Amino acid sequence: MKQKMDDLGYVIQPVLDALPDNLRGIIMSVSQVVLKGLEEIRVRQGRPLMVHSHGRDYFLCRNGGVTRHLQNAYIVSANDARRILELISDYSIYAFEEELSSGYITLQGGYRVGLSGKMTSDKKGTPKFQYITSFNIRIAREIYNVANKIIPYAVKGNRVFHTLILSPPQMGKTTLIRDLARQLSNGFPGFSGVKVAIVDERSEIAGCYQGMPQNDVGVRTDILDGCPKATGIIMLIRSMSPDVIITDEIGRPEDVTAIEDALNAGITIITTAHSHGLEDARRRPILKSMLESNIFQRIMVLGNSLGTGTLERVYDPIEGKELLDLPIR
Amino acid sequence: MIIKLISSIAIIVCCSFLGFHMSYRYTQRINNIRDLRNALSYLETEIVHYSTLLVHAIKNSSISVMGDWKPFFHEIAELLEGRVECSLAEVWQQSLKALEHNPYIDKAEYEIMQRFGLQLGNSDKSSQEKYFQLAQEQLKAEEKSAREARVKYSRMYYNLGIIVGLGIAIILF
Repeated sequence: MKQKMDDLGYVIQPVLDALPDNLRGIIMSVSQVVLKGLEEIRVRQGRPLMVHSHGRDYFLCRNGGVTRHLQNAYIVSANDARRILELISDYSIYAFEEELSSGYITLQGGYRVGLSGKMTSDKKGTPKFQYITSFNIRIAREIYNVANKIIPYAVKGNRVFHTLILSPPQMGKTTLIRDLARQLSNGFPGFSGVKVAIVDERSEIAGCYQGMPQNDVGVRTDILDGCPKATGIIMLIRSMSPDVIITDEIGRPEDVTAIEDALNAGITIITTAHSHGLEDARRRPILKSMLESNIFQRIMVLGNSLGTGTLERVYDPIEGKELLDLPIR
Repeated sequence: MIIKLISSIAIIVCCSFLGFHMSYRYTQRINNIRDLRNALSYLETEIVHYSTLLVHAIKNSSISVMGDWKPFFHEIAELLEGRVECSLAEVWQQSLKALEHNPYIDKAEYEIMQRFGLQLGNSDKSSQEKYFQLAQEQLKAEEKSAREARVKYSRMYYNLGIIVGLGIAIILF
């Protein structure tokens, strides 16, 4: 069993550590083909233990075999759910209050565990969990050099453009800006590297665990983890003198003000937004106002015409022209 | 004659020691409660104000705690640092068992800590703060009653030991 895990085991060790011994044994017994394509481990109290691999889901048997038959599957007990919560929180629920109210906990290694169950709210109206009964352990993988396709449009000489990446969900925009952060920070042939700061509100870009980035985001990168974007941008401008600030999923009015502050301070902004394209973005009030004020020098649209993460379009809104003739992946 | 004299002195010393030991239990119990309250106060600060993970919070507390509770905190920190296949409550109760028959820890403090262990770490900060306050109040009440008991019985046992020793020695002489 150990030999089988050697290839992948070191990669998902933090995930295995988050599971009670019985579930860990089951996962470790799963065939290597399934493990290599592992995307999610779904643990739902009172329901079958499942894994999502190579785009399909499988029920897991007690011996680690996969099955399509519900009656053969291992059913997750209340004790399993309670133990997982203890293990992912290091016996310290109080230390993860903010993450819990956002519905996830980040494990060492940058793996995220999504949570669901019975919610209630405190006196201030902040949602909080009363019972947690479902866990979605996501096996994130870093993809190096995925930003190569956008770098020629986002960087010219030693100049980095203010860039907005528009993308529907699940098109790899977070993976893209993570790699972009790494490359801008480390530098690449013809570019010496700049000071990068990331405001990582949902711990998705750098996957910080106790403040330490678990993903490779570059040697000149500082991260404000778990901080609201607008506040984080202002803090970074004042304290870390970055050349480039990278953040994910803008959409609130205060984000616009913070971005304008950054521009006034001479800092380059690279950010993303949920949208299916430029026309779609123009229908949203916040994005519309940003597009009209020509804050961004490059607007890139991701899609899946050639597969997930295809760079569909690149606009230069200031010159008013398209820079990409055909989609590239 | 010499043998009688030596025996008498031995009896007096033994009885005095027994009396002193009985008396010392009252003093040491108070010291232990005070140490425990300090440790919980330290632990509360780490948890409520710094959100330190429980393993590190207990480990830090175990460095500062003195007396008979020190090994308990130390053991829990060690157990949690390694991977254990049981819940925190179980680890807590298991480590607490070593103190069940400690002569300087009363059943009352033992039970307070038993109940406290069931709640530690498993809720948000404001709830944790309340559990700490509750434990502190209960321990404060126990400290008060321990002080009253010491005033009542500590000197009595101390004197009783010497007097009983002297009494036996006189009768045997």
